[in-house]
Order: sequence, then structure tokens, then C-alpha cells
Amino acid sequence: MHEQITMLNEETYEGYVSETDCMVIFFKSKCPNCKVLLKVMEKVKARQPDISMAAISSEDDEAVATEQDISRVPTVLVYKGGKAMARRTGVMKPPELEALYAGA
Amino acid sequence: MNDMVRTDYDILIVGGGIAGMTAAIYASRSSLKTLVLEQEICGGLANQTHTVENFPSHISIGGMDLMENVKEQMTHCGADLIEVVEISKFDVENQTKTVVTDEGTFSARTIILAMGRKPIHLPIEADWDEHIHYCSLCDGNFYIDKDIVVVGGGNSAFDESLYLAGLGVKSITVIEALDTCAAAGGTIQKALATGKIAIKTGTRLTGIDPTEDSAVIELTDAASGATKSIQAEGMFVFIGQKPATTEFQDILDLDQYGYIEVNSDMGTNIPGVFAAGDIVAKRYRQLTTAMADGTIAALEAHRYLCS
Repeated sequence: MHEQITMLNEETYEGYVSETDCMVIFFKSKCPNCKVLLKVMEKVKARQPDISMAAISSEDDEAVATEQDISRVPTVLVYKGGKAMARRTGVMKPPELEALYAGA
Repeated sequence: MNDMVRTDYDILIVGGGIAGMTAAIYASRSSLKTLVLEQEICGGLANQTHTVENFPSHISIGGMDLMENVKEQMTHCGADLIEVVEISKFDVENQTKTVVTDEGTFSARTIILAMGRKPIHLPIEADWDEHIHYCSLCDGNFYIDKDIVVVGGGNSAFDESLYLAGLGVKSITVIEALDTCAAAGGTIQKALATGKIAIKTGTRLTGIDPTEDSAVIELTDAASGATKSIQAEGMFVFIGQKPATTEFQDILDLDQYGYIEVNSDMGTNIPGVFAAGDIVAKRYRQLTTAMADGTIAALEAHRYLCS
């Protein structure tokens, strides 16, 4: 998938987001907007390597998506200090994604 | 902003849809040093098409899969590609054409504009954004066993309604403001045959009032002005697209809808500037016609460079 983005699943999600300040994208495999946003995340990661990026499939790990009340993809959650501090759905440009993380 | 300046390309292609990628294949195979700049990811609107069944060589193929194949072929041919690039400025009126981006400034003697079209968004304000969608592939499966509204009566609206019905959406109400739907008759019949799709023509969407789990959708009869309401848990909007030509309205010849006017060789009113695909003023916008545009534009760009 995307080398710079950590793939999460039902078993690893809670542990990862509670210990790591990060951005997590909920995506689907055949979703074009998800592919765009994953590419945007790669670009932001290249600019700001210190930001941890993660992804989780809302199809394969539906329980997590339901728990997080994800009704639309791509949705990005920003975790800081183990809490979801920001959330946004839809395609973003790199500066918008950077601002979402910085503002959380 | 990246200060890098590259002047070693022969041709810049802006847009990585089927027109731009086909142009890049032809340009690269003509030994032109080619750069494709795509503001999202390659594939264009075809990425949002669940199944393509009118592309010669494939009885049926996913739109995104088809576009992945073309992208692979394009890069195999030697074209350079930058995706999710942010373009801040075009300068195409001089002999050297320049595009300023967040990845650097790129110049070449020719440019092909193939940025296609973007979906038109719903002209109604409603605090229901989470449930208003423009991509059934992305969001359709959240509405299995639910009632939804599809806005628009063209081919996209019906193709996507069929996809959504196949996913398991409980009911779909298609709303079209005109008296008839523009979609192909066969597709409309197919939609009606599912038993899940109802069509309301001559009907305008005039309000969305969110409730706890759904919304009250206000519909107005275009002729009488009478209103009535239906309940829906989600909405998919397919009311057409508009060309991405805002930056060019003062320098290129555009038609009244903003599409670029070209000659039969895909040339615009500025020498060295070509256009291809959905962004061009024309009657038919299909994958195959976009490929033809891209082919001609690249070959003409080559001829222009050799002249």
C-alpha cells in the first residue's frame, strides 16, 4: 500500500492511537477520493516526516468504523494525547491537511 | 513553495485523465520529454465509474482498474508524472509555456490542457453535509437497507442508481427538474426493473431539513409549484459537471459554458497550446473520444515542435 502510512486493524487501532499523536484515514479500497487523500497524506509525510500517518479500512474493519461513527470516506481523525481532537471528511489539499493536524 | 525550475521538458500535460494520459503515451513514444501534472490522482472522472462497458477490448472493467492500467502504460512509456500537485499559476501566452506549482516551476514549448470537468455541487445550503454525496463508489455501502434520494436524471445519475440498488440500498427516489430524464432509455428501463427506483420528473429539490437519523426532503413540482416532502437517509448528487477553465477565461477562446474552443487538430487560439478531453467544447464526451483528442493533441504538439 503506502510505505509511509501505518496500516491499522481492529486489533491494533486502539493501542496505536492511544500511544501515538497521529492522523488516521478511514478508507475503502475502491474509493477514488480515498486514493487522492492517501496520496495527499504521503505528500504531507514527505514534507513533515515527524507526523505519524495511519490508515484503516472501513470495509475490513467495520467495527472500528462503526465505533468511530464513520458514515463517509475518506474521513481523517487527528489523535493527540490519545484523544480524537479533530475530524474531517472528504478530499483535502496538503495545506488543509497540515492545518487540520496543526490546529488539533 | 518549491523553488526548483525545470526547463528541460518538451511538453507539459496538465491533467491525468484518459485524455492527458493518452497524450502522454503518444508524446513519450514520439521521444518528447513529457511531464504530466495532475492535481488529484490520475484517472479523472473514470475513477468514479464503477463499471465501464463501452471501452473496446474490455467487455466490462472497473473504471479505476482501467485507469490504473493506462497510468502504468504511460509511465512505462517514459512520461514523468506528479500527482496531487498544486498549481498556482499558468503562463501560456508566450512561446515558452510555464506552470508554477508547489513542486516547482515547469516550462516547455508546448502544453496540452486536459483538466477535464468537476462535478457541480448541490445549490442548496443544508446542515446535512455528511449525508450528501457525489461518489457512490466511496459512500454507497453506508446506505444498505436505507432510503435515499438521487438528484439528477442523466446517465451518471441512473448508472450510479443502478450501482446503489445493486449494493442493497432499500429505495431510491430519482429527482429530475426537467420533464424528462436525459439518460439512455435502456438504462432507465433497467433502473425501473429493479423495483427499487422511483423517478420524479418535473420536480425540483427545494429544501433539506435534517432530523435525528434522516432528513425531510422538500420537493416542488416545477409546473404547479406545489410542494411535498419525502424522508431520506442520504442523498447522491449527479447534476452535471463544469469545465476547469477559470484561469483561462481571459486568454483562451471559450464557449458560453466555459469549454475550450479548439480546431480539428486540438489547437487553441494560442500557438503551442492544445486542449483535449472533456475540457474541450464538443458534443460527445466519452473515454474513447477523449483518447482521440489526446492522440491528436500530442501528435500536433510534436509537429509544432518540429516546425
